[in-house]
Amino acid sequence: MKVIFKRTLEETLKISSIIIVIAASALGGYILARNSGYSTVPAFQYYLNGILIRQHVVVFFLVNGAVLMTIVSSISSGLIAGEVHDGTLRILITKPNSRSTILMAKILGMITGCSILMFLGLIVLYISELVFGNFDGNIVNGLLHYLPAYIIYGYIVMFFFSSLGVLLSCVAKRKVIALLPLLVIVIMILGLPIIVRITMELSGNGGMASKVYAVDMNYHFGSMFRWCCDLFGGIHGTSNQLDITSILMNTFSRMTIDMDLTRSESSSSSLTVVNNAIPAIYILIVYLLLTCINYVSSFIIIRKKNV
Amino acid sequence: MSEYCIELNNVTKTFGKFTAVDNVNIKLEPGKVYGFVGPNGAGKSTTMAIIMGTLFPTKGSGKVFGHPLASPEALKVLGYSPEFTSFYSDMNCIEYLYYMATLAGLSSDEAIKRTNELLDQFDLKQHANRRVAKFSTGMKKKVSLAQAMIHRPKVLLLDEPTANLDPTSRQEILDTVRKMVEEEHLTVLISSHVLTELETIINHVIMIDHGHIILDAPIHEAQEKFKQGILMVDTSNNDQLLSELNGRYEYTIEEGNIRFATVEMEQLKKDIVSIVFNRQLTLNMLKEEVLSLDSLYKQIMEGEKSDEGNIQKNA
Repeated sequence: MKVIFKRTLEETLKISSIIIVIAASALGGYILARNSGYSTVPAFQYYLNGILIRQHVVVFFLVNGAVLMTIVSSISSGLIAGEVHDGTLRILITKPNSRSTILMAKILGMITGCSILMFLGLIVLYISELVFGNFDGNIVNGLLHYLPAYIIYGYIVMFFFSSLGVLLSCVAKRKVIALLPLLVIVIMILGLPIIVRITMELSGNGGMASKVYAVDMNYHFGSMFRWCCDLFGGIHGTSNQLDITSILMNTFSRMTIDMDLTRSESSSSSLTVVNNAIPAIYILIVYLLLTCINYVSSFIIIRKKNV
Repeated sequence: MSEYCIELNNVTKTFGKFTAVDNVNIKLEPGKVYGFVGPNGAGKSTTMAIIMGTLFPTKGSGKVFGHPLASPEALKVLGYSPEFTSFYSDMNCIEYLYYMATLAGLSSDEAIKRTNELLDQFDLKQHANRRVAKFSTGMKKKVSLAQAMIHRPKVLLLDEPTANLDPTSRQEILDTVRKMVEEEHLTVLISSHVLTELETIINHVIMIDHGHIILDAPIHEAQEKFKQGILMVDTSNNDQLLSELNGRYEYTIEEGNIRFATVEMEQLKKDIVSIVFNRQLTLNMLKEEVLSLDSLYKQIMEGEKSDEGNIQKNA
């Protein structure tokens, strides 16, 4: 159904979406480049790890986070509900095409459009980093090394959010009703758990907050992001460097250690280790299953929907 | 293959506790123009939506040229213009019709050709580059009709095509429909509240009320059937005439005239002439009513209401 695919693709690639993606990624790249300097650099790897960790955070929170999640949510939630509300779906389904074909064409158009936006976001991030950062070739190679990991994670985000958006869109009569739960999920991934974690940490109950893994969507997506990075070498750094990912993504945690064992002379008696409370692969499987269930349910609903 | 182009068998549609269409059976023969009439909320639009596959029946089934309702094969031969057509706010007229044509399976070249044909046919050429969403109601109806015709359907379903239009636009739309029917030999199911207008187009009438089909007959047969027994009378003293008739005939007063409804027409005429002669009354009017679709509609609906009343009384 080329014509519906094309129209959905055009709607996805609106000027406003493109501007948002470019602006956010350029800003992310600029911030990364401006904060990459160390007054004293102990080693190349230390320097590179520091930049990489911040790059991971920018990709997780901004490029493949807030921006991609919001755009995919906005487009997928309007896919059917928008046309129901505008009244255009009634005519659309009276033309000789099966409803499944219409939905499939719309989903493919949306995924293609969102893929282009995701690639655009990552490319602009890198360009911005290189333009403002003045990095040498080895650093650039190191930064580019994780691009495939970001793409894989981007697709995980895209498919999960689009499947939920499409399902809600098939049920709701207005786009906004389908969009609201998705925005709540975005907050559950990128905002609320972090605030709760920091608040409890400050009040001395940090351990408790980070143990509610089953409902901590920040941890789920953080783990899946880490899993993608692990495919291309993993996330490395010193405890201090990794602290930011512990706070913002819950992917690492501090483990108290025996000082005799490490023969550490520093005052610190803990190590930063991967937070494997729920193995990332299990989380990934559950989210992929949910994605499949959402898509299949959407097709079942649209086939019997009274318009 | 079935001799009917559309068949609905025992179709019921409920929305919660409300039954919009109740056990409806409809059979449409090819090449005829069907008028689908009934009051607001009678079930006309719901029935059309079921035929078009936008609504699914709660019970019953239907076929379009032997294909199940809502199947792509059925939709290929159906054209539909809903009562309220919504348009994409970003599309102009030519883009909208081209989009509809490609949706209907026409190749790009065919779609361009067909779009141009319809722009000409519906006199929309000079508005081709304007956004449809900003068109007047009359022009929107034309675009809606054009999109229904875009894939040269065999059956056209028009839901209130003249609703909310001024008389000139109404006439224009009806002329276009008439022309289309003549040129393309279509089967048409057309619903409208302006019944007098339908009379000039349709050759079969289907009446629906409270989700039930209450009349399904060729228009001339329906008129014949219901014409019998309607006599409009006006004399110099209608009260005296009525008292002399002593309640033997049912009547209503319409604009000062007496409207008799009876099966004993010959006897009624004799009685009236006799009273007029004996009481020295002036006979201003004695007219056997030629039944218009409008009065046929009123008569049947009044019959329905009195039947309902009787049922309620008996209950």
